[in-house]
Amino acid sequence: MSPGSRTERRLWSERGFTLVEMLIATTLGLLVIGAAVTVFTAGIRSQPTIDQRAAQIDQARSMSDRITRELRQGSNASSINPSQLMILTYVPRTACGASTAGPDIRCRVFYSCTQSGATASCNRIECPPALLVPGTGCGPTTIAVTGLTTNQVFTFSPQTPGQAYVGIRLEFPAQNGDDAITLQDGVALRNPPLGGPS
Amino acid sequence: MLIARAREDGGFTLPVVLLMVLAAFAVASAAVLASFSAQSGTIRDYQSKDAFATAEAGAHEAMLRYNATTVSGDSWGQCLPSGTPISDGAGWSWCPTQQAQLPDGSTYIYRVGFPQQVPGAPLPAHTAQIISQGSTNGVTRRIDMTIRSASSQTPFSSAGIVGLNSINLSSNDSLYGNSATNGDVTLAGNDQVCGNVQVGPGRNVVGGPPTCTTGSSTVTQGVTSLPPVNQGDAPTNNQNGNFFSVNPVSPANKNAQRRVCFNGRNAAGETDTSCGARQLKLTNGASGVTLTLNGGNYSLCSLTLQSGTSIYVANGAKVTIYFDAPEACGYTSAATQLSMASNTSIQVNGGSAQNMRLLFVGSDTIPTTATMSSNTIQNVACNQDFVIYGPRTDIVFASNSYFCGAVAGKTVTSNSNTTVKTSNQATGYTLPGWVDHYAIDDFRECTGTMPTGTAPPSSGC
Repeated sequence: MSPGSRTERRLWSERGFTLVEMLIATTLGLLVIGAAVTVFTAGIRSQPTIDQRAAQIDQARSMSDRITRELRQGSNASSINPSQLMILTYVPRTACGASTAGPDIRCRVFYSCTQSGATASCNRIECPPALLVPGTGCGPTTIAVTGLTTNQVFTFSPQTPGQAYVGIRLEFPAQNGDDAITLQDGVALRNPPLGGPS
Repeated sequence: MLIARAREDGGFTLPVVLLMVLAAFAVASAAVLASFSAQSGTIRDYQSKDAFATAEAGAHEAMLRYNATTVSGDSWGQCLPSGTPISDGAGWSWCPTQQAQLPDGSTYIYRVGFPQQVPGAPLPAHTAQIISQGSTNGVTRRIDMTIRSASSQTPFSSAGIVGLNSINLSSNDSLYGNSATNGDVTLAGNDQVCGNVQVGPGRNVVGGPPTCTTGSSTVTQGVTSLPPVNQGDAPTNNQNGNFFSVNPVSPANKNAQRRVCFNGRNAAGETDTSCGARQLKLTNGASGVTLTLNGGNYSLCSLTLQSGTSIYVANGAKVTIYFDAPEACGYTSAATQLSMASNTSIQVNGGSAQNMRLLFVGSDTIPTTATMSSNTIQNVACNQDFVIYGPRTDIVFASNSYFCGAVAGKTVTSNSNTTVKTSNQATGYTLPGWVDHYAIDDFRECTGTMPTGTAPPSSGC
C-alpha cells in the first residue's frame, strides 16, 4: 500500500476516534437529542390545549363569517343591548321551517349571548319573520360560540338614517401563557329596511 | 500538535454539528408549518372578502350604468353598453356578460336581467336583477342584487309621530295618531296616547299601558327606519332671495321690518348683525310681527321665532324649508336650528300641513335640535300645523304647545300639557328630492359560480 493523498491515507488508516472524543461527542449529542425530545414532548403535551384553542378560534371565525354573511344580506337589524342581535335575513329554506327545497328565504334570526361566571357563550335561533321574539314556530336553539370572555359582542348603530352597521367582537381569554385573542369584524347591511315602521 | 488537531476536520465536531443542525431544522420546520396552518384561515378570509368586494364593484358598476340614464327613459330592458337580452325560458331576459379587471388583479363578471312582459299584462315594474361574480386568487364570490325604481318615500305612511331612538312624554301630554320608535315610549302620568304604538323589539311603553279616553291603542314591536333628507341643490338653488320682497313682513312699518332679520339684513333693508348667514330671525315686538311665505324652497341654517311672532304660509302656497347640515352652517357644537318661543306659531292658511315642510338634514356628529316652546293659545287647536322631518335631529315640544301635522326625528320629546295630532293629509306626505333612480331593493349572496350556457345566471341565488 503506497501512501497517496491525505484523505486516502485517512480512509485506509485504522486510526479512529479517541475514547475522549467519542465520550464528548456522545455527551453533546445526547444533550442535543435530549433538548429536542424535551421540546417535542412539550409540544405533544400542549397539543390538546393548542387544538382546543384552534377549535375555539375556528368556531369563532365560523360564527363571525356566518353573522357577517347574514348581516350583509339582512335588513331590519336590531340590538336591544350588546349581547343580543335580531336580524331579518336569508337562510336556507329547510333551516327556517320551509318544507321544500329552493332558494334561501327570509327568516328572523336571533343571536343571544349569555355570561356565566368568567366565560360567555352565544346561541342562535331562527324564527318565522313575523316573530319579534323567539317563540312558537322557531327552530331549535344552537350554540354558536363558547368560551368567550364577555357577552358584549355586538355594537349596533341604528341611529343614523339608512342602513345600520353592526360590529362583532369575540374575545377569548388568555390561556396557559397564551395571549388573549380577539376576533373583530363589522358589516353594513346591504338590504334596505322593509318599509318604514314594520 | 494541538494546533494541528484544532485545524483538522476529524473528531467530534462534524457529527455534533450535523446533529444540532438537524435538530434545529426539525424544530424550525415544525414552527413554520404551524404558522402556515394558523395563517391559512386569515388569508382565506381576506381573499374571500376581497372577492366579495369585487363582486359588489361589478354590481355597482352595472347599477351606475343604468342610473346614468333616467329610469323612465328607454334604458330599462336594454343591455348597456351593448348587446341583446336573451330569454332564459323562466320569465327573465339576460344581457351578455360584462367583465373587467381591477388594478389589484381581481376580476369580476356580471349579467343584468329584466323580467319579461307577460302577453296581455302591463309592463312589469322597473326592476332588474344583477348577478355579479368576483374572483381573487382563485377565491370566488357571487351576489344577486335586485334594483328597482325609487322615486318617492312616504315616511309617515304607518305612523305620523316617529322618534327613531325614543318618544318621551311628560305628564298630561296627548298623542293623537299612530306613533313608532326603535326604543321605548316613555309616559309620565295622565298622558293620552290615542293611536297604535310601535316600539322597538324588546322595548316597552314605560309607564304604560297607554290610555286613551276617546279610543284605544295597541302596542306592537317592530323596527322603524327613516330615509335621510336629500336636499339636492337647495343650498344654492332656492328662493332665499324672496326675503322680504315676495315674502312680506306685517305690519308694514319700519318698526316691524326691523324685527325680521335674514342673512345679516333686516326687512327694512338695513344691515343687522342679529342674524348670520342663512339665519332667519323674528324678534318679539309689542304689536306681534308676522312673516308670510308665498311658496318656494328655502335653505336655512336656523329659524328663530321670538315670543309673539308668527310665520304664515299663504293660501295655496307650498313651502319647503331645508335646514342645512350643521357642518355646512359652520356650527362646531350642538345647535338649535329651529327655536320657537312661547306664543309663536307657524300656520298654513287654508291648506294642509303638507304645505309647510321643515326638513332637517342634521348630522351624525353635531347634535341638532328643533324646539317648539310653550304656546298659551290653548283654545285654538292646531295653531302649529306643518310637517317636521329630521331623522338626525332631536324634536322637542315644550309645555302647552299644540302641534298638528306629522313629525319625525331622532327623538321626540313632549313636555307637559303638549298635544301632538297627526292628520291624514300629513301622513301621506312624500319626501322631496328623490329623483327617479335605481336603488337596491334586494341583496343576497349566491352559492357556486356563474352558470354557463342556457342556465339562468341567478341559479343558486
